[in-house]
Amino acid sequence: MKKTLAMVLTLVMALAMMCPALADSGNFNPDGEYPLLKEKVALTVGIGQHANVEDWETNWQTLLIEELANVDLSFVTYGSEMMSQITLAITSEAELPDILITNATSGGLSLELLYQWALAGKLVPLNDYVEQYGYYLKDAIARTGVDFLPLVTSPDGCLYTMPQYNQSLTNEATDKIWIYQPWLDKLELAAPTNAEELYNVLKAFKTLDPNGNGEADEIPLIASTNEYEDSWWRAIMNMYIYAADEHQSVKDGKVFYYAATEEYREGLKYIRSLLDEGLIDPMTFTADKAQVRALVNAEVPVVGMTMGQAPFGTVNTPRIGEYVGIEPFKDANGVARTTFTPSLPKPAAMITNDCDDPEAAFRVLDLFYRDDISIINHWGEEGVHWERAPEGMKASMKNMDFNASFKELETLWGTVQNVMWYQCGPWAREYAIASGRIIPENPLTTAYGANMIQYAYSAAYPAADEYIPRFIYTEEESDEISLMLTDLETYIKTARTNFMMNAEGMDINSDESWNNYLDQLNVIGMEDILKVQQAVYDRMYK
Amino acid sequence: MNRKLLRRIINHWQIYCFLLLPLIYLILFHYVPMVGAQIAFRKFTIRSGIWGSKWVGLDNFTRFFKTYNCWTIIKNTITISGYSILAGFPIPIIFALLLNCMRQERYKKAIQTITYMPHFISTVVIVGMILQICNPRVGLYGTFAHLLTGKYPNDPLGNPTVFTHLYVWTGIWQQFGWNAIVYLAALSSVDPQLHEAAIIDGASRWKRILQVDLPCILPTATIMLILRAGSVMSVGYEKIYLMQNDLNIGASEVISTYVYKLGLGASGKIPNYSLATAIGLFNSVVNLVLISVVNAISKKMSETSLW
Repeated sequence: MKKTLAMVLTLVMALAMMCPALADSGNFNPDGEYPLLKEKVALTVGIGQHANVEDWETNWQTLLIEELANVDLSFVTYGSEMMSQITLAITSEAELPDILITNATSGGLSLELLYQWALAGKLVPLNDYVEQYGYYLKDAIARTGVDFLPLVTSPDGCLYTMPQYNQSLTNEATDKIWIYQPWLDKLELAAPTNAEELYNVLKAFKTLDPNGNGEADEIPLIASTNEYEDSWWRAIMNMYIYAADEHQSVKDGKVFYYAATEEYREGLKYIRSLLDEGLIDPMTFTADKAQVRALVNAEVPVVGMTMGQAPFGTVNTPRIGEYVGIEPFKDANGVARTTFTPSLPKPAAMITNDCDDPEAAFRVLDLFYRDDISIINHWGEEGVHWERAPEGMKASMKNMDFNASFKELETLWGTVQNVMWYQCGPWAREYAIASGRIIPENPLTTAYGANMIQYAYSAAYPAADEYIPRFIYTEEESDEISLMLTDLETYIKTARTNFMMNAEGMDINSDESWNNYLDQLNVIGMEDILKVQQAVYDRMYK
Repeated sequence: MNRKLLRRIINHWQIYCFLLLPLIYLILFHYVPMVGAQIAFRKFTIRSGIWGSKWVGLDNFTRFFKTYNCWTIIKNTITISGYSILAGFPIPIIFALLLNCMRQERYKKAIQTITYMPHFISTVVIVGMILQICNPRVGLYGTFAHLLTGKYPNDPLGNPTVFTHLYVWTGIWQQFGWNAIVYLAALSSVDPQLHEAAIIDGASRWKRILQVDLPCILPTATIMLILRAGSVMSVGYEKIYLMQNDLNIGASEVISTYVYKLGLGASGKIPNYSLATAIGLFNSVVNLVLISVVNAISKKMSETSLW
């Protein structure tokens, strides 16, 4: 019933928006039969260069797709400024490859920019293709249980991209808290659960010489600048107010900037006091992951706590295994909160109107959604790098009921390889895949640690009406606020750092400083931004 | 006059052919793109293109001057750039003079090679080295400070005041050997007769540097200074962008990094090409004014000038 309704609605929308209709092509084999195309088609793919992929042409996954689909893919690679290169190509009306595939290392494509490209008339709207040829895509929607296409649909009602959609519990709560268990054991302390306990534990780390070398060289808490865009402070701020990923939250249907609230100020005061006493190392603002990693792996352990999803990178050492994930902190009322970054689809592949056979291109991209190819895209060849878990086996994720999905045999992630596409291009994986992954207990890893504690973070998500999954702006809206938004975010970020460090004359304890800060937010245009965002929120989520 | 020039060109057309390539290069890559600079006065959208976008006059410029940190950015740019010129300009000259005094050819060559080598290290690597060395815990700086004082020092990269010095002096270290080459070349063309005459007059080595070498390279130095004045408003963005962090942003946000963030949309939003172009254009105009002024002053005072 629901599905029929959705289909009818999509159809009506498609007609209303007049996305061009399709012509039938005789070159296709029936759904589910291989190869997809009867006659070989050659397609060019513009793709962002990736440091972990040796050669797109000879990549094993490329060859697999070429064989299954009966296509010949040739690649045009772009550098880290792919988005602006494409934009310039569109402006100067240069020819584009048939298919464009973006990835995180090439900057990531925002929905706003995608819509700009579409408005320039360079992208093929895909709504009808999904209906007619989206065999694997529809299956992916069924598998994930979420119709994720509306979340990447442009304001004109047309779908211009084939997204990648990762349902991953561990990625939804990236501000995990890690503590060096041997120190807790040695000092006979329990893991901290609130602001007071956190202070005491950090103080103990700092003063009681837990590494026993007779020197006060312990760093109670440090994080890095490039772990999820320096989000470490959110783990602490959540004790005071829900610290959303972007700076806006919503309460009782009203959008607001939590960075302009009294609770936020209290949180900053607390963080400042930790910094003042040397309990948080100021290197947190300057050191990258590699430097923190070097500290963590120092001969004598010196780091007590850190925050993040994979705060030490993806390659493990015995020392890293000794860090244990702990539950999110509780506020004064005993409520635990964690920053929730909902699993959202991201633009991944586009078909340009320079493509002579968009139907074929669509079918090839659709193939990427096949459930095993979605796994291949991250973990490599089935049977060589991973294998399916036996029926009935339970997954290792603690306190959460998942059947085991697959087991990794050889790790490719983090290496330079030529097997898979390193999560580039379209794919969709449901919660059961990542959550059902069997992670060996020995050696201990942060991935294993995350699985052990995820239940506590999943329980600390905000309620559905307290967060905003995503704003999709129309052209006018985006035009009105984009500049102010950039300025405001930069300012909030800079001011936050200054307040924490008591730098540049910004003293969080002084009312004058705080009021100046609030004034400045309004000068930049917070109220105007909120007005627009409120409208978008009402349109999308009410 | 014109006819004479034309005749000369026709007679020596082969030589003028050599000029063709650089000329094409200049036109293609420096003059043709100027057409695009008009988007500074338009509200550029990808859909409408350069010529089709709406004309908004000076809107983008006023918008820039209204941004909350516009004056900080300009101030930072001028500070860093002015400091670089003041500190970085005399050093290659002094170095070239010193090197010129050296008698042992092989020794001299070795020093010269070693000092200009850093010029070829890429910015990313240089910044990586700076970050590595300055790390207060695991870096050379931290380790030494810990050995000497028993304490770990503060992070120099997190301090806006230190940042400026660090940026300028690492830049000088990287470039002074390379920049000295011009002066060494100028010094090698100093007529030996002048030196011989000075020796006969009883001039000491020091006097000869002051009275013979220095005046001889002064025109070169003036030209270099004028050229440098033309880039006061520009600080290359790569190095400063890589060295930037939340703590030093108060001193490290300069026009070029701001333009980069706006124009290439580092924040992931729609890049604002018009505003970025407007700021760039403003920058270039100021630079052009500066170079003209300095050139005029120099022309008046020393008769050395670019045009």
